Amino acid sequence: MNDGKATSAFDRTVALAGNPNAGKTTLFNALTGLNQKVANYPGVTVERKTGVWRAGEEKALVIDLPGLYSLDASSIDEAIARDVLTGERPDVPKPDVVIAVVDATNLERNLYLVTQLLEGPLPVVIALTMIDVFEKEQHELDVERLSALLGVSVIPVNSRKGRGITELADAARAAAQAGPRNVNKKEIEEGTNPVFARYSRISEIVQQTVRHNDRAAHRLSGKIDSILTHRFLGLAVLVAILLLMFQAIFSWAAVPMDLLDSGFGALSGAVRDQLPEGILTDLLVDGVIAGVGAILVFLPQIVLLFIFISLLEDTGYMARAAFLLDKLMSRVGLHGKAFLPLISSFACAIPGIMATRTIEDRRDRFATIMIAPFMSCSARLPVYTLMIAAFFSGQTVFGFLSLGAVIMLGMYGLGILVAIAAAFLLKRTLLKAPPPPFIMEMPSYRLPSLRTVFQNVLERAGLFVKRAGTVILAISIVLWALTYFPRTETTDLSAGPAIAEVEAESVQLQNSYAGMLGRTIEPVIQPLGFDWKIGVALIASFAAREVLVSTLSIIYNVGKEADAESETLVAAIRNAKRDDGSPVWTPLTAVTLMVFFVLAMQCMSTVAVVRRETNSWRWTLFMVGYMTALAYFAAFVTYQGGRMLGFG
Amino acid sequence: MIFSLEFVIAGLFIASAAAYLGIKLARKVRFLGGDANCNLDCGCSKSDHGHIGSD
Repeated sequence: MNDGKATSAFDRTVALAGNPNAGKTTLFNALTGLNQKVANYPGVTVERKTGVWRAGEEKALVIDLPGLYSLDASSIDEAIARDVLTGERPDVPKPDVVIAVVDATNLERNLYLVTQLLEGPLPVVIALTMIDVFEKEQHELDVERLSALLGVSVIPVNSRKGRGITELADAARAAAQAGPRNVNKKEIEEGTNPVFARYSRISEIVQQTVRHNDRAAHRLSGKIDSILTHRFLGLAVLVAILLLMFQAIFSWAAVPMDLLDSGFGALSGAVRDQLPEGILTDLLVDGVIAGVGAILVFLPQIVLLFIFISLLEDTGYMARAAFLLDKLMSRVGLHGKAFLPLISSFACAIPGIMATRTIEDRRDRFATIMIAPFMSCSARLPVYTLMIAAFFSGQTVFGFLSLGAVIMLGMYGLGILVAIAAAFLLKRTLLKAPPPPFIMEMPSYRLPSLRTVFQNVLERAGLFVKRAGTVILAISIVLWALTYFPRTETTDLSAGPAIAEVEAESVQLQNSYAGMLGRTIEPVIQPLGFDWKIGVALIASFAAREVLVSTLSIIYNVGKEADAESETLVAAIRNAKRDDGSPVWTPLTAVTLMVFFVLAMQCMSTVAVVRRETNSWRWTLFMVGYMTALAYFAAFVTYQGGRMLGFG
Repeated sequence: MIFSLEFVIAGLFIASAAAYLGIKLARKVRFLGGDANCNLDCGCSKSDHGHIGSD
């Protein structure tokens, strides 16, 4: 059924608009399934998400607008959403109907945007989300009355279970055919202040349609919040949850990781057995399998990390954790809106930095961008884990806490503390600005959706594997070549063939291109306790942090032996010796390396995004410079301080 | 070094890997120049930001 307005490929164009956290993305996913396309609006980094919604024989193009609170256009997101809704963006077809996604548990705030949409030129249908949560809290909402008062269809939907989707399709079709309703705009704006007048009208609507009967439930939620957001208790709970998470990551992932490790060991052995000795076999075993296998071994930990993150997000706890840190962050002068970007940065700094576009003030935005990479992203996890597995595995604190989990928590905590200190300094010097207002939204507690968690984990795991099979694979091959060439022939067999072989490999590595590079920078990194082999891995890891693991695996020739007893990377690190016979790695070296990785700017992609988002090479280079200097200084203090205290 | 078949194959592997990384780098430079959308292979999910490399 074509109403004549939509583009030829589709029966109509539908725009989804709503507040952040209103359930817009979940509804978008439910409507479009896998038929999605993600891009950016040209010229800006605001995400443009479109998808195809098939309802019966009809096909609609769905545009998922950025989450917004109003159409007042104070941020880029709001300006773009307004332009799409008014048909002023030439790159986006003008919608025929707007589906306003309204969170029933935050009706008053959500209706603010709705009242603005109703004044616009497009027909509107309301998709009421979270109604199950709302009713579970024993509130009552008269949907028909709400629909009558607003003059538009209001359809309760449950995106996860697919309820209300057919009714929504019918309502959207009917609204598109009927055209926009006439709203008496004058009536809304007649008050002394248009914002208050609007809220006053909304308040009347809510009073006439909602009956709150939630004292018991509200009390329970309030009680939970009084603990979880308490200044001290809340922080203790947060620390306990994180400790539990890291402990679980270490202990639960151990078995699958060992299996994967043995699997790659066996694969190396099989390839070496089957293929003739030579350059190709060396490339496959020492380059490809050692490099990619060293990273893929961490897949179980990545999966567990994202299971926990998804669970914490989906239950509503993440917002409480953000609230706790938000109090602290706002004191150092960071904007309230900085928290979502910073929390996102724990997965990856890039979406975090891109999410800062919601911060209107340039100085607040830049301050957030400058500190976002301090949040320990998932690419650092393999590095932390390798160091912990090599030197701190099996040790406990207080008899029950894994030392590895405590160190891991310490590394995450170090990143947060340095970020706070850096923000404090930046906001008082280069990015001086008045203290920003403090706004924080608390979503309701809810049971996590296993489907959402599963989808999220699957997507993250898929990306991890894809990255291992593309960029990491390519870097591993190139690095292997840099360790393999130029060839050095040694024929001294006086000490016996086995020793001669080890000696030859060591000489080869030292004289290789990678060796030359490592030895060039060795004087700079020696004060941190690092030798030239670690130097090569450090240089390689500027491309991406986890490359450190694959580089070490290649440099230490993991999988060189063709039998089942082939050395693992952990064992190779423990056994690595300097020329004088002293161990290269000690627990102190491992901690120093982790501290360096918490603070250093070792990710080319992040650098590119910072340049793009700040539109300034000066700020980009400043960030790379100050983070690298800070990382070097902190690693220096850790190593030299540790030695002075007798830990070396 | 004898230029055997396996040496040639290994060389092709290395050249392909280097070319792949070179293209990645070039795309980043294009991205910096504002001529392309993000295709950073940064490890973040498609829903996080605008990866359109496969579009």
